[in-house]
Amino acid sequence: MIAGISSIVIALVAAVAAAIGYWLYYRSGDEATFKLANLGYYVLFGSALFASVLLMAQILAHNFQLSYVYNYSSRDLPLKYLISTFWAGQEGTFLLWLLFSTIYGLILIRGRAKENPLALFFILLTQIYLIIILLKKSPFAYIWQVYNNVPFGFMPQDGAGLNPLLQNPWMVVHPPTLFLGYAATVVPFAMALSALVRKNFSQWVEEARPWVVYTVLILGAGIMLGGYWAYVTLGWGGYWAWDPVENSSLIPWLLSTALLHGIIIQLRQGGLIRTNLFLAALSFVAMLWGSFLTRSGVLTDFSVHSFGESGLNMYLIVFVLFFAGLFLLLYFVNINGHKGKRFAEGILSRETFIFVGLMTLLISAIFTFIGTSSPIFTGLVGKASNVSQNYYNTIHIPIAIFMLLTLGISPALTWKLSKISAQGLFFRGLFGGVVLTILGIVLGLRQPLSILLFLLSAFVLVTNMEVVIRFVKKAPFAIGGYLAHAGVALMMVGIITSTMYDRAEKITLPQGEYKPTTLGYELKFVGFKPMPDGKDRVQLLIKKGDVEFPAEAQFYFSKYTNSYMVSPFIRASFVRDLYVAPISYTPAPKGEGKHLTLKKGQTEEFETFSLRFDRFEVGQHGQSPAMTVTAVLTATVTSEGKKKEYELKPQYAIHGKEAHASEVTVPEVGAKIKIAGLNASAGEVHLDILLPKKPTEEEVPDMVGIEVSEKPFISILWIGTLVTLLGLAISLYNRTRKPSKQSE
Amino acid sequence: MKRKYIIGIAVILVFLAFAILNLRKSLTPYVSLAEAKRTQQTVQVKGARVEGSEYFDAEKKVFVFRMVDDQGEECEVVYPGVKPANFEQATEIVAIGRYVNGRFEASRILVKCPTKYQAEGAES
Repeated sequence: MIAGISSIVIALVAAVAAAIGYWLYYRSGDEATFKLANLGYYVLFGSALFASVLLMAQILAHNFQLSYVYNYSSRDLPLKYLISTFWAGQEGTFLLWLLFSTIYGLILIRGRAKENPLALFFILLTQIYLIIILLKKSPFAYIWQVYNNVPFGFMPQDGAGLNPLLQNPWMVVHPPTLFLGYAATVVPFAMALSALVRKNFSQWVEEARPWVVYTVLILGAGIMLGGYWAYVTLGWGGYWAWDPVENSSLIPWLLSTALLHGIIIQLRQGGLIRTNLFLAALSFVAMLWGSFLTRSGVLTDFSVHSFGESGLNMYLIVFVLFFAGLFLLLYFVNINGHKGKRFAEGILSRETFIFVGLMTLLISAIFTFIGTSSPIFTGLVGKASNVSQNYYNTIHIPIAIFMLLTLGISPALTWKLSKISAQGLFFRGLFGGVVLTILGIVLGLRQPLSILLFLLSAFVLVTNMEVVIRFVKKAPFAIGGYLAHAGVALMMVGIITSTMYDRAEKITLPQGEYKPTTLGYELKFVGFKPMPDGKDRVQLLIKKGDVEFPAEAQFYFSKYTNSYMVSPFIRASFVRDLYVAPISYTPAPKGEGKHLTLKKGQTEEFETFSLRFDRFEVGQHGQSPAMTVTAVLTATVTSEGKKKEYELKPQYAIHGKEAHASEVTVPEVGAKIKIAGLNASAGEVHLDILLPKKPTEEEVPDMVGIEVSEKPFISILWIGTLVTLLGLAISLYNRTRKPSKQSE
Repeated sequence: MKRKYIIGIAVILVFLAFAILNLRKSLTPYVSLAEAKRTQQTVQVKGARVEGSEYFDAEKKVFVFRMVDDQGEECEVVYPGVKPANFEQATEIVAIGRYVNGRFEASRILVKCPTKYQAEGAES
């Protein structure tokens, strides 16, 4: 589509011009150059916006001449899922990424760009890369440009449709939120690069701080939405599986969060100058690496839901290497022994604990990275190997213990002094933690590890919430960090209770009969309930004690994915969720199927009848364009001592390459016969015969396989995510207010 | 001051050892069925189901089927649980587990279906 491709070409020209402009302005300080560069940037933004609006308009207008619209949408989609089509494919996500990135640049122009044009210069470099990818893999390509066998100007009646997994309200918000977060990692990275060029290592952290808080907030919200979506729609019972797709969003988040804490130390104590530069670079590069892993198809053997192969591998690898290399080059040329001050005064100081917290985040990111990339690394030296979820879960136990220790103790510490200065806070936290843990044990906590983690989480919760409550009146905007940490403690509690104490059972339910489970629920499979949108549901009845309630879980066959789509039934409450997910469906056998080949004149004996093939009749229906073959069969049925003969005429019609076989029924017996194929010259006919069930045979009903599970207090996890996000949002508000009003 | 660094480095070293041990233990290589039969290790094997071979053992509550890999090697697979979703539609099955006493005891089964997520036949 010429308008779309032109707008991307214009974007490329404008981006290159603006980048040169900002560079020249950086060298000369000439105001006119700055204005010209800004003009170029506005053109870039305008083109990216135009391209996005155009793509959206094409999707809404069902222009299936566009390969993208054809592949990811169809006429029957409601508006909200037509909107999700925008990011259903790779081309669209690159465009979305570019759009968000250009918006961030606009905010910088209105802010500090005049003093620091270099940050915009580096952001533009990444945008130029995105635009090149968009030219290589354009969302505006016509189907005849993509497929060899499609004639020029062809307009398909309907599109291929949207993956049913994406046809979910959460999928309307989850991907764009993630991309808002991904795109934001470029800002601190560009600021770090500009700091290296200018050899001014203190100013950038102050400028970058609100952006880092923003990234942690938005990327965090995206990840949590993804987890919640997985829980309520995928039906495997969890929210996090350490899948490469999930990890590739978690790693940049962990690194950005580490950077956030490093910045605090640098602003307070002048330490960690070099660490912070690296953390800014790592979060951006990790984000690129993740987009390479999930788009390149290298992990398709190891992930259930990676994107397919895209032919962009080289582009993406060069993208990663170029920016990693650029950073390292600038770093080693310009760092010149610049070094942060030694900042940690003794073990029990606030800064030591923040640093240890930073290290736990960094180590978590590194080992998650190693696990995620293991198929690539092991593939280089031998057999490609994957790590199991166990690896991630086990290594995160010590990480969680250290993280919770630092989160719980640090509010009681002060800067530059090695002692527990707020002893009251510390001991009240400890006391509160112990009380809550005893309560937890009364409620059923048993495993020692879970008790330890619960105790630490409760301790973190009590100390941080006490600070929140104390601050909320006099400095309400300073509570962000403490609130976020309290939220992390709540999340931890929810993770412990819902995964270490979750009880699950897989059972097979015959239709119409209550079956008991070890969980104390009785379940009955009632039947299937057809839905107008084709997303049929399994109807169940669940009984516990005297309470009986219906449960409906989505379970239907999707032609798009050629598989069954499952969504669970969830009965949520604060104390526990009951989670019921269909797994498989086995329809009752309708009889015994037999495959049979008969020559002319040959007879086959069955228990209740015999069948003889007499001859073929060809082309009896002259008016029909199709070639029709009729096989004349004689069935002899013996009933009450008498033999009766019936003539049967199943037909086989061939329309071009397609064959259609009609079915005949043997009277009295009820056996169904269909022609499966024929060999006219040999005088052979192949028949599919379905023999009816004998009345003596046991009735086998339809069966569904179901997984039932109970997840205690998973609600606390969701509450924790909301508290964490609220804390980050307050923190972001605090960091974007006028500097004079800021409070620590 | 010194003491702090020593503690820090010691903690990190202990963690590293712990993490590497774990990594080695949980690496599950992709192997052929023939190789899986030779080793005691937990591995992943990829193959196709043998049509009609599957049944559910209601007494032991295990799902049993035969799978064949791309080298034609065949093996019985036992999976604790009911028939995995979309088993019949699978073009490819990945079983993760160990070969014990003449059968492959799978702890996880991944079922791969032909999806249209990325359009087929597109030039790239």
